[in-house]
Amino acid sequence: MTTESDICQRLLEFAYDELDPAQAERFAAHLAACARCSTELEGIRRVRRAIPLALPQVEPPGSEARLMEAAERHRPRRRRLVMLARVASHPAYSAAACLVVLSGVLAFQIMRGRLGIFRRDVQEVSLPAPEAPFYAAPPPPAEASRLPAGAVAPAAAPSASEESRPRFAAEPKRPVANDDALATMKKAKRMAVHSASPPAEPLARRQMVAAKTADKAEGAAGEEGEAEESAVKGRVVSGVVGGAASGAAGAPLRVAAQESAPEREAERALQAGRCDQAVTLYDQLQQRDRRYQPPARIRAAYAHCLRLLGRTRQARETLDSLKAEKAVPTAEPETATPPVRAREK
Amino acid sequence: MVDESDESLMLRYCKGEVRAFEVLVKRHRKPVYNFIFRFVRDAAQADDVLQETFLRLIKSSAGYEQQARFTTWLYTIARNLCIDAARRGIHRQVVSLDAPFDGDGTATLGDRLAAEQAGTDREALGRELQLRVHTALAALPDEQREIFLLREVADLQFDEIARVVGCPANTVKSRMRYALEKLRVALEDYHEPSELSPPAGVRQELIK
Repeated sequence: MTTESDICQRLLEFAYDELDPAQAERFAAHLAACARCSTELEGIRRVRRAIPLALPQVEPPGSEARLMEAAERHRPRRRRLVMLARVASHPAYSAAACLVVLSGVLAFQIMRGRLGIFRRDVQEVSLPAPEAPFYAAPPPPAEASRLPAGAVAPAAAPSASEESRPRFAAEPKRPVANDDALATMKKAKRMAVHSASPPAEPLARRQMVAAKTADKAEGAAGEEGEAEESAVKGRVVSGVVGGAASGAAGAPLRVAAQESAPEREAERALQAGRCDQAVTLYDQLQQRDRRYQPPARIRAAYAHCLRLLGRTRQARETLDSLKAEKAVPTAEPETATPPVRAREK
Repeated sequence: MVDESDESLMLRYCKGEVRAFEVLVKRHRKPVYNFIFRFVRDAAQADDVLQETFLRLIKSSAGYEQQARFTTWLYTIARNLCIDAARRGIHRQVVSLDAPFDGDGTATLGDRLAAEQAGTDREALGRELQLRVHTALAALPDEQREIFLLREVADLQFDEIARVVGCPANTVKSRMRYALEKLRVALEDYHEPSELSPPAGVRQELIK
């Protein structure tokens, strides 16, 4: 049954043509009898008449071409397969995968009260824990927290479970990745002393925050001081994560690229907030090599400076180039998060 | 391809067909830009947000599933970025004192209005109207303004707006009613020029 006030609720939909014909007809009949609705409707229509003039549709100033360029550059091509292949080929990722498998097995063993036999293995893996998750690909937080818990569980049944052993045999891969990644990380750390996060914070969480900061900062970069700092922070951390992956695969590492003296000076100026000086130095570098761009990890800050100096166009291009580069190492986490709305909220 | 639904175009882009995405861009760039522009009220910043919106769309296209309506997705991204941008805008006003070269956002509302309608008498007549609407919109609480803009500028239906902003449709409608009421009051003693109030028959057309 529809009461009077229920039907009054339909006013907006009626005013905006969202009712189906039958409902609209019913509402029109109601309108003749309801003074309140008809007054409100008249008010709404008056406002709506003013809108086309008050808020005329304007043409976007930028060009479609740039959007299409981006669409072309990031064109999805069977990303899932690519992703799997990549995961499989990066030791850092397989180390993370092993971690996941390992913790699954552990949980299974704990459930069956058979942990004792694995105690040594567990310690081997969990000892470097304060650093390990920092450069390995981020394991899901649940796994990260489960592992240390398993490591201190008491020894119980000494009987070896035959089917579990072979799974652990895959583990030796991990230290290999560690060595590479450790070297990488030391380098990256040297470049980014100021970005050290408090060690007490849970690691998985810290990574998620870092990833988020990087993501946010990308949009925010160059807007204000805070954003700049978090941009640099985020980028450095994600540089470490991405760098660990590419470093382990034997590719040259962006973060650790050779830097010339003017570059170092420019970077110091940038970090000290002397935008004009930094930009002048980078200009000189770019005069020498037209394709030169500051290293990715500080490019957001550089863009910020450009913008402060009124060179918004160049700032935007710089950010775009950054996004384009960043798109490669972050492709996995991004594609791995499927539901659209959940991600955006 | 022109009449194809947004969703199926998006799926084709996900399979690697860039042409399909071009149709989407042509279709939505202008309305999305207008929504963003009215939200952040700064042309340069709006352009940035527009680029970023499509970039996010592109980058997360691999996770696109047809169950989500394309426009819902698009405007969810745009709206979130607008909120971020508006937050930064508050800081920026402070920063811009030290950054006189910052070309963005320095023009006043009056300047922009004048530039927007360099012009004709008919538009000059509307200047007062524009000022009234802009002022009233600026005075609205954010959650009312965004709904007003999503409905009037982006032309989304109320149930879709509810999904974009993540609250019940009834809440959306009541916010919209508040917004409309405040705008109505703002226009109360404004006399519509005769050409703005056509006879009742034409009125319906104009509204659509």
